[in-house]
Amino acid sequence: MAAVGNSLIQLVAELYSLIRHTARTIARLWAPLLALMLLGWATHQVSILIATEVSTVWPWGVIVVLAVGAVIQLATIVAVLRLVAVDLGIPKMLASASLREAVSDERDTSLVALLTITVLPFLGMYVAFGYLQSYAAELAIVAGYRKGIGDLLGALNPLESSTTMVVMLVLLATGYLFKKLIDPWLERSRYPLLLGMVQIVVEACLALLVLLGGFRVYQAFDLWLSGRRVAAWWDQLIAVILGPIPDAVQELAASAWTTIGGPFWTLGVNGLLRPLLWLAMAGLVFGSRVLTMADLWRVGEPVTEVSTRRERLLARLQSESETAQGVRVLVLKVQSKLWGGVDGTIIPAWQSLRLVLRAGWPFVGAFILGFTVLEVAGQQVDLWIARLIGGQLVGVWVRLNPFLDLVQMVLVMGITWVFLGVAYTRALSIFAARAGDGVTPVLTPDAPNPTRAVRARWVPALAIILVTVLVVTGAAQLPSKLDSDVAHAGVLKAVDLHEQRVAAAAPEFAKAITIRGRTVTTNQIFVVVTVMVSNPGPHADKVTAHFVSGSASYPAWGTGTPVAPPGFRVAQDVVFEVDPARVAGGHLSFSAMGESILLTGYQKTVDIDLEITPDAVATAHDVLEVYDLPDREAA
Amino acid sequence: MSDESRPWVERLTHRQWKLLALAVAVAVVVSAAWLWIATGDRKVSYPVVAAGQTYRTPDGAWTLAHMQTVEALPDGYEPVKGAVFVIVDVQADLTAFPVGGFCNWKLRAGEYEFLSVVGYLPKDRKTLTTCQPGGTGVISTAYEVPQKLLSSVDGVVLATKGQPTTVLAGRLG
Repeated sequence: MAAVGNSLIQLVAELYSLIRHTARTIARLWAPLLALMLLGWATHQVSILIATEVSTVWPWGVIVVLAVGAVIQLATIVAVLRLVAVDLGIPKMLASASLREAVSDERDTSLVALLTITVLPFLGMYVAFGYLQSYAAELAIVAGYRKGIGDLLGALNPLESSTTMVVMLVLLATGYLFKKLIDPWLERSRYPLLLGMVQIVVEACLALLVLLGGFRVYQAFDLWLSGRRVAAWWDQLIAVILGPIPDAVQELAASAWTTIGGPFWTLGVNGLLRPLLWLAMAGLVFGSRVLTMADLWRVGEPVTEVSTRRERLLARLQSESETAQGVRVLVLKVQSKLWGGVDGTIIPAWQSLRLVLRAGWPFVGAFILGFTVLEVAGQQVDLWIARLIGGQLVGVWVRLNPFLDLVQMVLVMGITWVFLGVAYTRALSIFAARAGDGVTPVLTPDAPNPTRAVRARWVPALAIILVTVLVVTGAAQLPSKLDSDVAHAGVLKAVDLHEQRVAAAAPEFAKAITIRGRTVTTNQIFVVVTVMVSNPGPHADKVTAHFVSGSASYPAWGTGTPVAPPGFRVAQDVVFEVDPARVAGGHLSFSAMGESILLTGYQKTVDIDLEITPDAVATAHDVLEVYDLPDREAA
Repeated sequence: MSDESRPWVERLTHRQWKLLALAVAVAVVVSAAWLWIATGDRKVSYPVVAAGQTYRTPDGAWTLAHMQTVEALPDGYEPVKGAVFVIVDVQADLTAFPVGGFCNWKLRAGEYEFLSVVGYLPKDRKTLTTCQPGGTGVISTAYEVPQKLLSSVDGVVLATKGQPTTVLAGRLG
């Protein structure tokens, strides 16, 4: 129990230390931080505006605009992380620990050099965790609202036509080759900065091409494959393998996955792995020398020892390249060209992740807790601002969105990037403290440093993991989006629904109805409600009504909800065909379509309680006459 | 050490106030641009032909003759409670009007637009109610308008095939 208590104390101490240092760093660097985050925000909004205009003229141009926007935003993020690293003293700490002659890190002399190392992994993270998809989705919504619902994604669908497929493949191949061919020219060019930025934008374009179009190729291939015999053979093979397992066990396993495994997988990936991956990405900005130092500080493991399969392969390639002759030289050069980028970026990212995981459970737990709290707090602030504004039609949200983005993109993400920088610095400081070679760690907590790596006793580790998982799980239960802003009213009470007003009379029930001389019967129950819609404004927005009972929602039957022309009020009988078991307790739910039929935001709906008692069905008319023509007057 | 040889991070922090001022200025400009563009979104703006002037196109020529209110249509049909009918007469020369062409009419009252009443028959049965090829004379249309919006009536909106939708300005006589 004492071990558990101590580990929890360390967890809290680490968390407090991270928060304190984050606050202090922000206090010192708020001016350049705010400037960089504002520039990132402005770039995002401008790229959306430009891409919206370009989308109707030249859809492929959208990729270039979004790529440039993404790269500039990533540049500001990377600059923030590097700023934090320098402010916290990381370069000086590393210089004091270096066993090699101090070499100026090109991350300090050139922002472009920093970007070329970091942009691909950062883009990968953006894609992996949905940020780039959100970027593209935001563009689709704004373009759909401002320019009408077009088919932006269809225009970029390589399966739409053979021309589109050819264009996409040519662009992918050209972009990849351009990236490889430009490398030797970077240093010789008179404009290395410009050429470097072009190379980075090309990489971003490739990523977006794959995102926006390439996945459709995969989908088509998957669909094609599922119709082939090999797919049937595979299913049969699975059935043969699972055959001996009793059905009850298979069902239990499937049920366990649905109720427990699935949510835990989501928790694991989103709640636990994602923060660690972001922290690992921050390590790229801090420098590859950092990773070499981390290798040095792994006690008892010589730095020259290759311990992973990939490292063995690289070492073999290096020795082979030194002794190769003839065609082998050409082969090795081609291999280097093809995989050089991966070696320079993905592998350091992987090493960075390993460094983070070895910093100790108190640190890992504290970091995940802090990251989760920041993220959730940011989401909740967004939701509360939306609640304060109240339900609005989609056009209002499209206009407000850039300003709402200020909260997330400037305030929340600004704090998050500083937190990441402080956390990575703390991880390095933990290694410096463990190494005991006279290096002064730059960030120390108030509680004693953990003296063991992750391979600590499992009970304290388990305690920290449990607390972390509980907090992350609890945070995941908080609402992440709003459904609608519901206004409640009773019968014969008019309620505002955006620019219109709606009201409903007490309902009547019938087993059959007569409309314009024609009798219609049902094996359910007709609920007939006189609905009034008033539209005093100049816009012809359509209002729809549903009869809602529990989870069931019934649309209006026949002519539907009355449409009030601008300046007029209409009243009309609206009929719903409802399951008799669901009539009692039902209510009417009104919503407005606004300017766009397909796009909606957090908007207002009106629920009118029809005060239907359980014995209502018993009072149903055998036949009821219904007037489905609107009764109109000036509003 | 020259400025260019200093690490870029150091240069950035040295000029942090200039950078912040620049960033704030950029943010203000972007915000203003967004608001300016957004307020114009989905607002339709038509060209306006001044009152008494003739709107000429290759298909025809139209002049807003007069607009007046009536308590009931010639066939006795009365407006709904709180509304009146506005009869609009447009002098038209449709000798060059093509077969398959069309005219759509709406009455404009500020931001409001009202569709013409379906089935309206003028007192003079020879008066046109739609654009017909070769026709020349008065085209008469009727609109049901809330009484409180009468003072805002400022013209009739004409949409014809192949031409921009245009407002023929005028006031109730």
